[in-house]
Amino acid sequence: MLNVVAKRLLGEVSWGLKMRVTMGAGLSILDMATDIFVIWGYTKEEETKGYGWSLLWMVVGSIVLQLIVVFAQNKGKPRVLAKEMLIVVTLMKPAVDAFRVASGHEMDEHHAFDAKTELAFAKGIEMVCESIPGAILQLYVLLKQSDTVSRATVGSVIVSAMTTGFSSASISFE
Amino acid sequence: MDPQKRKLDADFYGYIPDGGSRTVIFGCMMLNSALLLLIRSFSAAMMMLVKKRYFVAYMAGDMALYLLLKVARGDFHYWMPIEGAFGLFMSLLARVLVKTITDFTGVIHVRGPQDLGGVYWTANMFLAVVASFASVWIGGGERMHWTLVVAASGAWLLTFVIVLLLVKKEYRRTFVSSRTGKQQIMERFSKADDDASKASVMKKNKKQWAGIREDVKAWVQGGWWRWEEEKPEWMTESWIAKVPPDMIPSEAKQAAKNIRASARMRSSLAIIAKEITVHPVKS
Repeated sequence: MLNVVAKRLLGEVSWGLKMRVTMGAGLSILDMATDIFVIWGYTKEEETKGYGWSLLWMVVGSIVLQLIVVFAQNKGKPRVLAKEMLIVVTLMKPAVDAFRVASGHEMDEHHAFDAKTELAFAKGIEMVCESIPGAILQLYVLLKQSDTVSRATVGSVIVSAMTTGFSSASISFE
Repeated sequence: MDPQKRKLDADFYGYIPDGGSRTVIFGCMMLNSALLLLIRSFSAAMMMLVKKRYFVAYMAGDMALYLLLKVARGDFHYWMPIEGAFGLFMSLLARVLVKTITDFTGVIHVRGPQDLGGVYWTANMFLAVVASFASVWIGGGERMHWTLVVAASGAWLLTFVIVLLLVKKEYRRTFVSSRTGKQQIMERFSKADDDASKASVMKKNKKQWAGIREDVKAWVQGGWWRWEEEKPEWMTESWIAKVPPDMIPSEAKQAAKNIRASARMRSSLAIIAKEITVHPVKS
């Protein structure tokens, strides 16, 4: 009886975790998509071209920092490292991390930290490099050009805030 | 939920009660964080409109104070078991990233001793909101700007109070705790009543438990041969590879050395190696 109850409870916990990580990965990808849309919009106009490049550098910075974490996690394993780096540069990291956490992926002996910690690092880097500076920059442009409020920018800031809020709540929910 | 983490840090993990309030807490945490990001980003943009240098100076000064405080309390090294110069770089990177994230998003989890610490986290949150008001004032904010910041700050405070009211009462002190990361790790080892809990010390940066190194060494040397016979779940190759060589009984050193070497081999070989258990011969 106790085993049945425990299994049911564990099943529910696992379902909740799967839902959270999948939704988080989805929001991350949506955030990236809106960022790319805004970058495209900014680079079209001569006046906002510089902001577009700044946003693009934020995305690049996020990728570089994620590569450093992947290096720390897999140093001494060149093949694994190359595969993990490919996952980062193809922007698949949120989805792969989400899958690993949801499927209970175990640590390899060369790993410095577990899949959940790696996901938290990736989310943290995404927040520091994209969500936070991206929100500041887009609000700065909105305030500077207050006569022409861009719906795409407002939408991108809101998506960034919700993605960040979701990641923050997920990290804290233990 | 990680049962091992709950067991090791029972006074930190497990603050979310069971039942219907979990969804409300998650929703409030999400809104709280999203609102803080909007308030902080808006005020940063206001400050940058006046002079970008003001914003850079404020952020750099705040970060420098935080890092100095960590160094002064002997708590600069992050928990990750990465040693040497690269470990120091990773600690600096982690400290800067965590502080920046907290300033703008208020991740509640980082109130833990391994990150900002309870009392610093709470003070940091309120100072962040106060700084946002100051930024709007410096930026010569119009009525609409003030309305936006006051309304968002009010909603932020409301969601924070709801979270505080709904979490388990005994965990509220974690929001005002002054415990450091190294204190937590050393206490965790000393108070643990089973080997599985004590074994987690190897997953942490050695600098953090330098104060109890001799106790850890005595525990490893006292239990090594028994663990070899009992083969506990936690005694994995990954764990053995993290044990400092001087702590391993001399007869078992060669086996541990082999494990370290195998940890450096190619991934495909490592998967096979995982299946092999090393049993050194007692002399």
